[in-house]
Amino acid sequence: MKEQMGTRSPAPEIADAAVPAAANPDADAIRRSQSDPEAFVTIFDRHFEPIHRYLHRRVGRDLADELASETFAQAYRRRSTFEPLSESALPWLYGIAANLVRRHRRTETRRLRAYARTGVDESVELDVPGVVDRVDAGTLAASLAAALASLSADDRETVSLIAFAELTYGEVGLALGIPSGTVGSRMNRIRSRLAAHLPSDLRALREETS
Amino acid sequence: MNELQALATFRAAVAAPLPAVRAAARDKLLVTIRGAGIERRQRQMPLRRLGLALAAVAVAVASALAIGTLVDGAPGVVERAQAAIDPRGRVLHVIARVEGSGGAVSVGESWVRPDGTGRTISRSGEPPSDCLASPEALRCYDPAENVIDVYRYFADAVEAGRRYADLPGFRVDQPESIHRAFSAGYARLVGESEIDGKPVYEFQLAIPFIAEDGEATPQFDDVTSPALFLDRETYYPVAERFPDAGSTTYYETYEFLPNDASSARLLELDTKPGARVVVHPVGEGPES
Repeated sequence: MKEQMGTRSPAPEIADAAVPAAANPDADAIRRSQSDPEAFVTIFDRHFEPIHRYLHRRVGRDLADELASETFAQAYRRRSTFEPLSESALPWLYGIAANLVRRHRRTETRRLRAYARTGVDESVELDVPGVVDRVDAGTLAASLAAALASLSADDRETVSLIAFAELTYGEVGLALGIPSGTVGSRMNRIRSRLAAHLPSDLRALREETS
Repeated sequence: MNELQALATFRAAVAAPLPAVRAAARDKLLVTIRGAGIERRQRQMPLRRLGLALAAVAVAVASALAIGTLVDGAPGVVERAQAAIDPRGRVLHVIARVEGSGGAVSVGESWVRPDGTGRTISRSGEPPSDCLASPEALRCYDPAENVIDVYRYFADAVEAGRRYADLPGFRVDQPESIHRAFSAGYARLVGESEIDGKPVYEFQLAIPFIAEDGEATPQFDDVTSPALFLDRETYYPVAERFPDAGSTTYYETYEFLPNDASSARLLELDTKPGARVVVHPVGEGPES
Protein backbone atom coordinates (compact mmCIF):
# COMPACT_ATOMS: atom_id res chain seq x y z
CA MET A 1 0.00 0.00 0.00
CA LYS A 2 1.45 3.28 -0.96
CA GLU A 3 0.70 6.63 0.49
CA GLN A 4 -0.37 9.51 -1.66
CA MET A 5 2.04 8.97 -4.53
CA GLY A 6 3.88 5.90 -3.40
CA THR A 7 7.48 5.36 -2.39
CA ARG A 8 9.68 2.69 -1.05
CA SER A 9 10.64 2.74 2.60
CA PRO A 10 8.32 2.05 5.53
CA ALA A 11 6.95 5.02 7.38
CA PRO A 12 7.59 4.94 11.10
CA GLU A 13 4.33 6.73 11.83
CA ILE A 14 2.48 3.98 10.04
CA ALA A 15 4.66 1.18 11.33
CA ASP A 16 3.63 2.24 14.84
CA ALA A 17 -0.03 2.30 14.11
CA ALA A 18 -2.33 -0.44 15.29
CA VAL A 19 -4.40 -0.26 12.12
CA PRO A 20 -2.69 -0.28 8.73
CA ALA A 21 -3.48 2.56 6.37
CA ALA A 22 -5.07 0.11 3.97
CA ALA A 23 -7.86 -0.38 6.48
CA ASN A 24 -7.93 3.21 7.48
CA PRO A 25 -9.11 5.63 4.81
CA ASP A 26 -9.66 8.31 7.45
CA ALA A 27 -6.03 8.17 8.48
CA ASP A 28 -5.06 8.33 4.84
CA ALA A 29 -7.20 11.44 4.28
CA ILE A 30 -5.83 13.13 7.37
CA ARG A 31 -2.28 12.33 6.39
CA ARG A 32 -2.89 13.66 2.88
CA SER A 33 -4.34 16.82 4.38
CA GLN A 34 -0.90 17.67 5.75
CA SER A 35 0.19 18.50 2.24
CA ASP A 36 -3.23 18.92 0.61
CA PRO A 37 -5.32 20.62 3.31
CA GLU A 38 -8.63 20.30 1.48
CA ALA A 39 -8.33 16.53 1.64
CA PHE A 40 -9.64 17.01 5.17
CA VAL A 41 -13.08 17.83 3.79
CA THR A 42 -13.44 14.10 3.17
CA ILE A 43 -13.47 13.62 6.93
CA PHE A 44 -16.27 16.13 7.21
CA ASP A 45 -18.28 14.50 4.46
CA ARG A 46 -17.97 11.09 6.10
CA HIS A 47 -18.65 12.00 9.67
CA PHE A 48 -20.58 15.23 10.04
CA GLU A 49 -23.93 13.55 10.46
CA PRO A 50 -23.05 11.16 13.31
CA ILE A 51 -21.18 13.90 15.14
CA HIS A 52 -24.14 16.26 14.77
CA ARG A 53 -26.52 13.56 15.88
CA TYR A 54 -24.44 12.83 18.98
CA LEU A 55 -24.31 16.50 19.88
CA HIS A 56 -28.00 16.92 19.16
CA ARG A 57 -28.79 14.19 21.66
CA ARG A 58 -26.62 15.79 24.27
CA VAL A 59 -27.26 19.51 23.97
CA GLY A 60 -30.10 20.07 21.53
CA ARG A 61 -30.28 21.06 17.93
CA ASP A 62 -29.26 24.71 18.11
CA LEU A 63 -26.12 24.11 20.09
CA ALA A 64 -25.39 20.98 18.07
CA ASP A 65 -25.39 23.05 14.89
CA GLU A 66 -22.72 25.28 16.37
CA LEU A 67 -20.65 22.62 18.08
CA ALA A 68 -20.67 20.16 15.18
CA SER A 69 -19.27 22.84 12.94
CA GLU A 70 -16.65 23.77 15.53
CA THR A 71 -15.74 20.10 16.02
CA PHE A 72 -14.51 19.83 12.44
CA ALA A 73 -12.77 23.20 12.50
CA GLN A 74 -10.91 22.12 15.63
CA ALA A 75 -10.23 18.70 14.20
CA TYR A 76 -8.63 20.28 11.18
CA ARG A 77 -6.45 22.51 13.33
CA ARG A 78 -5.42 19.55 15.46
CA ARG A 79 -5.08 16.98 12.71
CA SER A 80 -1.38 16.54 13.41
CA THR A 81 -2.36 15.04 16.77
CA PHE A 82 -4.50 12.35 15.17
CA GLU A 83 -3.26 8.84 15.91
CA PRO A 84 -4.52 6.20 13.46
CA LEU A 85 -5.27 3.71 16.21
CA SER A 86 -8.83 3.00 15.11
CA GLU A 87 -10.33 2.10 11.77
CA SER A 88 -12.25 5.35 11.81
CA ALA A 89 -11.55 8.91 12.85
CA LEU A 90 -14.91 8.92 14.60
CA PRO A 91 -13.61 8.20 18.12
CA TRP A 92 -11.15 11.06 17.74
CA LEU A 93 -13.91 13.35 16.45
CA TYR A 94 -16.24 12.30 19.25
CA GLY A 95 -13.50 13.16 21.71
CA ILE A 96 -13.25 16.67 20.30
CA ALA A 97 -17.03 17.03 20.29
CA ALA A 98 -17.24 15.78 23.87
CA ASN A 99 -14.65 18.33 24.92
CA LEU A 100 -16.71 21.07 23.33
CA VAL A 101 -19.81 19.89 25.17
CA ARG A 102 -17.90 20.27 28.41
CA ARG A 103 -18.00 24.02 27.97
CA HIS A 104 -21.77 23.77 27.98
CA ARG A 105 -22.20 21.21 30.74
CA ARG A 106 -24.19 23.60 32.89
CA THR A 107 -26.64 24.14 30.07
CA GLU A 108 -26.84 20.41 29.47
CA THR A 109 -27.44 19.68 33.15
CA ARG A 110 -30.04 22.41 33.49
CA ARG A 111 -31.99 21.12 30.50
CA LEU A 112 -31.81 17.53 31.68
CA ARG A 113 -33.11 18.52 35.10
CA ALA A 114 -35.90 20.54 33.54
CA TYR A 115 -36.78 17.57 31.37
CA ALA A 116 -36.80 15.24 34.35
CA ARG A 117 -38.98 17.65 36.30
CA THR A 118 -41.48 18.60 33.61
CA GLY A 119 -41.36 15.71 31.17
CA VAL A 120 -40.92 18.26 28.41
CA ASP A 121 -37.68 18.09 26.48
CA GLU A 122 -36.75 21.60 25.47
CA SER A 123 -33.75 20.32 23.52
CA VAL A 124 -35.10 17.78 21.08
CA GLU A 125 -38.03 15.70 20.02
CA LEU A 126 -38.25 12.29 21.58
CA ASP A 127 -39.21 8.88 20.41
CA VAL A 128 -38.58 5.68 22.24
CA PRO A 129 -39.81 2.89 20.03
CA GLY A 130 -39.91 -0.58 21.38
CA VAL A 131 -40.24 0.10 25.03
CA VAL A 132 -43.71 1.58 25.23
CA ASP A 133 -45.35 -1.79 25.75
CA ARG A 134 -43.68 -2.28 29.10
CA VAL A 135 -42.70 1.14 30.23
CA ASP A 136 -44.29 4.47 29.71
CA ALA A 137 -41.98 6.25 27.29
CA GLY A 138 -42.29 9.64 28.86
CA THR A 139 -41.57 8.28 32.28
CA LEU A 140 -38.57 6.41 31.05
CA ALA A 141 -37.15 9.40 29.20
CA ALA A 142 -37.68 11.68 32.15
CA SER A 143 -36.06 9.13 34.42
CA LEU A 144 -33.12 8.82 32.12
CA ALA A 145 -32.81 12.59 31.98
CA ALA A 146 -32.71 12.64 35.76
CA ALA A 147 -30.11 9.90 35.76
CA LEU A 148 -27.95 11.69 33.25
CA ALA A 149 -28.26 14.96 35.14
CA SER A 150 -27.07 13.24 38.28
CA LEU A 151 -23.83 12.08 36.69
CA SER A 152 -20.58 13.98 36.78
CA ALA A 153 -19.38 15.57 33.54
CA ASP A 154 -16.81 12.78 33.09
CA ASP A 155 -19.36 10.04 33.67
CA ARG A 156 -21.97 11.63 31.41
CA GLU A 157 -19.38 12.01 28.68
CA THR A 158 -18.35 8.37 29.01
CA VAL A 159 -21.80 6.85 29.02
CA SER A 160 -23.08 9.05 26.22
CA LEU A 161 -20.23 7.94 23.99
CA ILE A 162 -21.21 4.35 24.64
CA ALA A 163 -24.98 4.70 24.52
CA PHE A 164 -25.37 7.46 21.94
CA ALA A 165 -22.29 7.02 19.78
CA GLU A 166 -22.06 3.25 20.24
CA LEU A 167 -18.34 3.29 20.84
CA THR A 168 -16.55 0.39 22.46
CA TYR A 169 -14.68 0.85 25.72
CA GLY A 170 -11.44 0.98 23.76
CA GLU A 171 -12.79 3.63 21.42
CA VAL A 172 -14.09 5.68 24.33
CA GLY A 173 -10.62 5.44 25.80
CA LEU A 174 -9.19 6.75 22.55
CA ALA A 175 -11.76 9.53 22.41
CA LEU A 176 -11.21 10.71 25.96
CA GLY A 177 -7.56 9.89 26.28
CA ILE A 178 -8.01 7.44 29.15
CA PRO A 179 -7.22 3.74 29.46
CA SER A 180 -10.00 1.38 28.43
CA GLY A 181 -9.79 -0.17 31.90
CA THR A 182 -10.74 3.18 33.36
CA VAL A 183 -13.70 3.30 31.00
CA GLY A 184 -14.75 -0.13 32.23
CA SER A 185 -14.55 0.74 35.91
CA ARG A 186 -16.29 4.04 35.25
CA MET A 187 -19.07 2.21 33.44
CA ASN A 188 -19.61 -0.21 36.31
CA ARG A 189 -20.25 2.74 38.58
CA ILE A 190 -22.38 4.56 36.03
CA ARG A 191 -24.57 1.55 35.31
CA SER A 192 -25.39 1.13 38.98
CA ARG A 193 -26.34 4.74 39.17
CA LEU A 194 -28.45 4.58 36.03
CA ALA A 195 -30.18 1.45 37.21
CA ALA A 196 -31.21 3.21 40.38
CA HIS A 197 -33.04 5.81 38.29
CA LEU A 198 -34.95 3.39 36.11
CA PRO A 199 -38.71 3.14 36.56
CA SER A 200 -39.60 0.25 38.82
CA ASP A 201 -41.23 -1.89 36.11
CA LEU A 202 -38.15 -1.53 33.92
CA ARG A 203 -35.99 -2.46 36.87
CA ALA A 204 -38.12 -5.52 37.32
CA LEU A 205 -37.69 -6.40 33.67
CA ARG A 206 -33.96 -5.92 34.04
CA GLU A 207 -33.87 -8.30 36.98
CA GLU A 208 -35.87 -10.84 35.04
CA THR A 209 -33.51 -10.75 32.10
CA SER A 210 -30.24 -10.52 33.98
CA MET B 1 -33.87 -4.19 28.69
CA ASN B 2 -30.94 -3.09 30.77
CA GLU B 3 -30.01 0.45 31.72
CA LEU B 4 -27.69 0.93 28.75
CA GLN B 5 -30.28 -0.28 26.29
CA ALA B 6 -32.75 2.10 27.88
CA LEU B 7 -30.27 4.94 27.62
CA ALA B 8 -29.67 4.13 23.98
CA THR B 9 -33.31 5.08 23.36
CA PHE B 10 -32.86 8.48 24.96
CA ARG B 11 -33.42 11.13 22.28
CA ALA B 12 -32.78 8.41 19.72
CA ALA B 13 -35.08 9.97 17.18
CA VAL B 14 -33.23 13.20 16.68
CA ALA B 15 -33.44 14.49 13.17
CA ALA B 16 -30.55 14.68 10.75
CA PRO B 17 -28.86 18.08 10.47
CA LEU B 18 -30.59 20.43 8.10
CA PRO B 19 -28.90 20.71 4.70
CA ALA B 20 -28.32 24.39 5.31
CA VAL B 21 -26.59 23.63 8.60
CA ARG B 22 -24.41 21.05 6.96
CA ALA B 23 -23.53 23.42 4.13
CA ALA B 24 -22.70 26.21 6.55
CA ALA B 25 -20.49 23.90 8.60
CA ARG B 26 -18.70 22.72 5.47
CA ASP B 27 -18.15 26.31 4.39
CA LYS B 28 -16.77 27.15 7.81
CA LEU B 29 -14.36 24.25 7.57
CA LEU B 30 -13.18 25.42 4.15
CA VAL B 31 -12.66 28.93 5.50
CA THR B 32 -10.64 27.43 8.34
CA ILE B 33 -8.59 25.37 5.92
CA ARG B 34 -7.96 28.19 3.51
CA GLY B 35 -7.27 30.69 6.26
CA ALA B 36 -4.90 28.44 8.08
CA GLY B 37 -2.18 28.34 5.51
CA ILE B 38 0.00 29.97 8.09
CA GLU B 39 0.03 27.11 10.49
CA ARG B 40 3.03 25.89 12.30
CA ARG B 41 5.70 24.87 9.89
CA GLN B 42 6.12 21.48 11.41
CA ARG B 43 2.46 20.76 10.90
CA GLN B 44 2.97 21.08 7.19
CA MET B 45 5.23 18.05 7.26
CA PRO B 46 3.59 14.97 5.79
CA LEU B 47 5.82 12.80 7.95
CA ARG B 48 4.53 13.83 11.30
CA ARG B 49 6.11 11.32 13.56
CA LEU B 50 9.45 11.55 11.86
CA GLY B 51 9.49 15.16 12.85
CA LEU B 52 7.83 14.70 16.20
CA ALA B 53 10.84 15.22 18.37
CA LEU B 54 12.02 18.18 16.37
CA ALA B 55 8.56 19.66 16.35
CA ALA B 56 8.24 19.19 20.07
CA VAL B 57 11.52 20.92 20.58
CA ALA B 58 10.60 23.75 18.27
CA VAL B 59 7.31 24.33 19.99
CA ALA B 60 8.78 24.06 23.43
CA VAL B 61 11.61 26.43 22.74
CA ALA B 62 9.44 28.93 21.03
CA SER B 63 6.76 28.57 23.64
CA ALA B 64 9.22 29.13 26.40
CA LEU B 65 10.63 32.13 24.63
CA ALA B 66 7.18 33.41 23.95
CA ILE B 67 6.39 33.81 27.60
CA GLY B 68 5.06 37.27 27.27
CA THR B 69 5.56 40.39 29.24
CA LEU B 70 1.91 40.04 30.13
CA VAL B 71 2.78 37.33 32.64
CA ASP B 72 1.26 38.64 35.82
CA GLY B 73 2.86 38.35 39.20
CA ALA B 74 6.10 36.84 38.00
CA PRO B 75 8.62 39.66 37.81
CA GLY B 76 11.88 38.45 36.40
CA VAL B 77 10.59 35.05 35.31
CA VAL B 78 10.24 36.11 31.71
CA GLU B 79 13.64 37.74 31.57
CA ARG B 80 15.35 34.79 33.21
CA ALA B 81 13.62 32.32 30.90
CA GLN B 82 14.59 34.36 27.87
CA ALA B 83 18.20 34.50 28.99
CA ALA B 84 18.34 30.80 29.79
CA ILE B 85 16.81 29.62 26.55
CA ASP B 86 18.48 32.03 24.17
CA PRO B 87 20.59 29.70 21.97
CA ARG B 88 23.19 32.41 21.28
CA GLY B 89 24.37 30.51 18.23
CA ARG B 90 24.57 27.18 19.99
CA VAL B 91 23.04 23.85 19.04
CA LEU B 92 20.07 22.76 21.09
CA HIS B 93 20.13 19.09 22.11
CA VAL B 94 16.95 17.54 23.44
CA ILE B 95 15.79 14.09 24.35
CA ALA B 96 12.03 14.12 24.58
CA ARG B 97 9.70 11.37 25.76
CA VAL B 98 6.13 11.67 24.52
CA GLU B 99 3.41 9.86 26.43
CA GLY B 100 0.32 9.57 24.27
CA SER B 101 -3.25 9.43 25.39
CA GLY B 102 -3.48 5.69 24.89
CA GLY B 103 -0.38 5.01 26.95
CA ALA B 104 1.91 4.79 23.93
CA VAL B 105 5.37 6.17 24.58
CA SER B 106 7.77 7.43 21.95
CA VAL B 107 11.21 8.87 22.42
CA GLY B 108 12.96 11.30 20.14
CA GLU B 109 16.34 12.94 20.18
CA SER B 110 17.05 16.14 18.32
CA TRP B 111 19.83 18.56 17.59
CA VAL B 112 18.58 21.91 16.38
CA ARG B 113 20.55 24.78 14.91
CA PRO B 114 19.54 28.33 15.72
CA ASP B 115 17.99 28.60 12.26
CA GLY B 116 15.55 25.81 13.14
CA THR B 117 17.02 23.12 10.92
CA GLY B 118 18.38 19.99 12.50
CA ARG B 119 18.42 16.27 12.93
CA THR B 120 15.88 14.14 14.71
CA ILE B 121 15.95 10.48 15.61
CA SER B 122 12.66 8.87 16.51
CA ARG B 123 13.09 5.73 18.56
CA SER B 124 9.41 4.79 18.58
CA GLY B 125 9.84 2.34 15.73
CA GLU B 126 12.37 -0.32 14.79
CA PRO B 127 14.71 0.57 13.30
CA PRO B 128 14.73 4.15 14.58
CA SER B 129 14.14 6.81 11.97
CA ASP B 130 17.02 9.19 11.47
CA CYS B 131 16.17 12.35 9.54
CA LEU B 132 17.39 15.81 8.76
CA ALA B 133 14.65 18.41 8.71
CA SER B 134 14.62 21.62 6.75
CA PRO B 135 11.78 23.89 5.62
CA GLU B 136 11.79 22.36 2.15
CA ALA B 137 12.37 18.66 2.73
CA LEU B 138 13.05 15.78 5.05
CA ARG B 139 16.08 13.58 4.42
CA CYS B 140 15.87 10.18 6.07
CA TYR B 141 18.43 7.43 6.14
CA ASP B 142 17.37 3.86 5.55
CA PRO B 143 20.23 1.67 6.85
CA ALA B 144 18.75 -1.55 5.45
CA GLU B 145 18.91 -0.23 1.89
CA ASN B 146 21.75 2.22 2.54
CA VAL B 147 19.61 4.90 0.96
CA ILE B 148 18.94 8.50 1.86
CA ASP B 149 15.33 9.27 0.96
CA VAL B 150 14.59 12.91 0.22
CA TYR B 151 10.94 13.79 0.75
CA ARG B 152 10.11 17.23 -0.58
CA TYR B 153 7.16 19.28 0.58
CA PHE B 154 4.64 20.92 -1.67
CA ALA B 155 5.52 24.49 -2.52
CA ASP B 156 2.42 25.82 -0.79
CA ALA B 157 3.43 24.05 2.41
CA VAL B 158 6.88 25.60 2.22
CA GLU B 159 5.32 28.97 1.52
CA ALA B 160 2.92 28.49 4.42
CA GLY B 161 5.90 27.83 6.65
CA ARG B 162 7.44 31.10 5.57
CA ARG B 163 4.23 32.99 6.20
CA TYR B 164 4.02 31.31 9.53
CA ALA B 165 7.23 33.05 10.50
CA ASP B 166 5.21 36.22 10.84
CA LEU B 167 3.04 34.74 13.56
CA PRO B 168 3.95 35.29 17.18
CA GLY B 169 5.92 32.51 18.79
CA PHE B 170 6.47 28.93 17.65
CA ARG B 171 9.53 29.72 15.58
CA VAL B 172 13.00 29.12 16.80
CA ASP B 173 14.94 30.16 13.75
CA GLN B 174 14.02 33.82 13.68
CA PRO B 175 14.63 35.43 17.05
CA GLU B 176 12.99 38.65 15.98
CA SER B 177 9.72 36.84 15.33
CA ILE B 178 9.92 35.35 18.79
CA HIS B 179 10.56 38.73 20.30
CA ARG B 180 7.46 39.99 18.55
CA ALA B 181 5.58 37.31 20.41
CA PHE B 182 6.79 38.56 23.78
CA SER B 183 4.50 41.52 23.69
CA ALA B 184 1.59 39.66 22.12
CA GLY B 185 0.48 37.80 25.23
CA TYR B 186 0.78 34.23 24.01
CA ALA B 187 1.49 32.81 27.46
CA ARG B 188 0.24 33.32 30.95
CA LEU B 189 1.54 32.09 34.25
CA VAL B 190 -0.80 29.61 35.90
CA GLY B 191 1.23 28.95 39.00
CA GLU B 192 3.97 26.87 40.52
CA SER B 193 3.85 23.10 40.74
CA GLU B 194 6.05 20.02 40.52
CA ILE B 195 6.84 17.56 37.75
CA ASP B 196 8.45 14.34 39.00
CA GLY B 197 9.42 16.16 42.17
CA LYS B 198 11.05 19.02 40.32
CA PRO B 199 9.72 22.53 41.12
CA VAL B 200 8.36 24.16 37.98
CA TYR B 201 6.54 27.22 36.75
CA GLU B 202 3.41 26.30 34.87
CA PHE B 203 2.29 28.40 31.95
CA GLN B 204 -0.72 28.17 29.70
CA LEU B 205 0.12 28.84 26.07
CA ALA B 206 -2.16 30.43 23.54
CA ILE B 207 -3.02 28.95 20.19
CA PRO B 208 -2.96 31.48 17.35
CA PHE B 209 -6.53 31.91 16.17
CA ILE B 210 -6.50 32.85 12.51
CA ALA B 211 -9.37 35.10 11.52
CA GLU B 212 -10.78 35.11 8.01
CA ASP B 213 -8.71 38.20 7.25
CA GLY B 214 -5.59 36.28 8.27
CA GLU B 215 -5.02 38.17 11.50
CA ALA B 216 -3.80 36.02 14.37
CA THR B 217 -4.87 36.55 17.94
CA PRO B 218 -3.96 34.51 21.02
CA GLN B 219 -6.62 32.09 22.12
CA PHE B 220 -6.52 30.49 25.54
CA ASP B 221 -8.83 27.73 26.63
CA ASP B 222 -8.64 24.65 28.77
CA VAL B 223 -9.20 22.33 25.85
CA THR B 224 -6.63 23.40 23.31
CA SER B 225 -4.05 25.49 25.17
CA PRO B 226 -0.91 23.50 25.97
CA ALA B 227 0.62 23.78 29.40
CA LEU B 228 4.35 24.42 29.57
CA PHE B 229 6.39 23.61 32.66
CA LEU B 230 9.71 25.38 33.20
CA ASP B 231 12.29 24.33 35.75
CA ARG B 232 12.27 26.95 38.51
CA GLU B 233 16.05 26.84 38.76
CA THR B 234 17.28 26.55 35.19
CA TYR B 235 14.18 27.91 33.39
CA TYR B 236 14.57 25.12 30.86
CA PRO B 237 11.45 23.25 29.72
CA VAL B 238 10.66 20.20 31.82
CA ALA B 239 7.41 19.14 30.19
CA GLU B 240 4.62 20.26 27.95
CA ARG B 241 1.09 18.92 28.14
CA PHE B 242 -1.34 18.99 25.25
CA PRO B 243 -4.82 18.62 26.74
CA ASP B 244 -6.61 18.18 23.44
CA ALA B 245 -4.37 15.32 22.39
CA GLY B 246 -4.11 13.95 25.90
CA SER B 247 -0.36 13.70 25.51
CA THR B 248 2.55 15.03 27.50
CA THR B 249 6.09 15.59 26.33
CA TYR B 250 8.81 15.26 28.95
CA TYR B 251 12.17 16.82 28.21
CA GLU B 252 14.63 14.38 29.70
CA THR B 253 17.62 16.22 28.30
CA TYR B 254 17.60 19.87 27.38
CA GLU B 255 20.98 21.46 26.82
CA PHE B 256 22.92 23.72 24.51
CA LEU B 257 26.03 22.43 22.78
CA PRO B 258 28.79 24.57 21.34
CA ASN B 259 28.47 25.18 17.63
CA ASP B 260 31.71 23.39 16.84
CA ALA B 261 32.94 20.47 14.77
CA SER B 262 31.75 17.83 17.22
CA SER B 263 28.22 19.24 17.20
CA ALA B 264 28.33 19.53 13.43
CA ARG B 265 28.90 15.79 13.25
CA LEU B 266 25.78 15.24 15.34
CA LEU B 267 23.83 17.25 12.81
CA GLU B 268 24.62 14.86 9.98
CA LEU B 269 23.07 11.51 9.13
CA ASP B 270 25.14 8.56 10.26
CA THR B 271 25.33 6.76 6.95
CA LYS B 272 27.37 3.85 5.68
CA PRO B 273 29.79 4.46 2.83
CA GLY B 274 28.23 4.50 -0.62
CA ALA B 275 24.73 5.53 0.47
CA ARG B 276 22.49 6.34 -2.49
CA VAL B 277 20.31 9.43 -2.51
CA VAL B 278 16.74 8.92 -3.76
CA VAL B 279 14.86 12.14 -4.38
CA HIS B 280 11.13 11.50 -4.38
CA PRO B 281 8.54 13.53 -6.27
CA VAL B 282 7.30 16.60 -4.48
CA GLY B 283 4.62 15.81 -1.94
CA GLU B 284 5.38 12.12 -1.88
CA GLY B 285 5.42 10.41 1.46
CA PRO B 286 6.94 7.10 2.38
CA GLU B 287 5.38 3.78 1.55
CA SER B 288 2.97 2.50 4.09
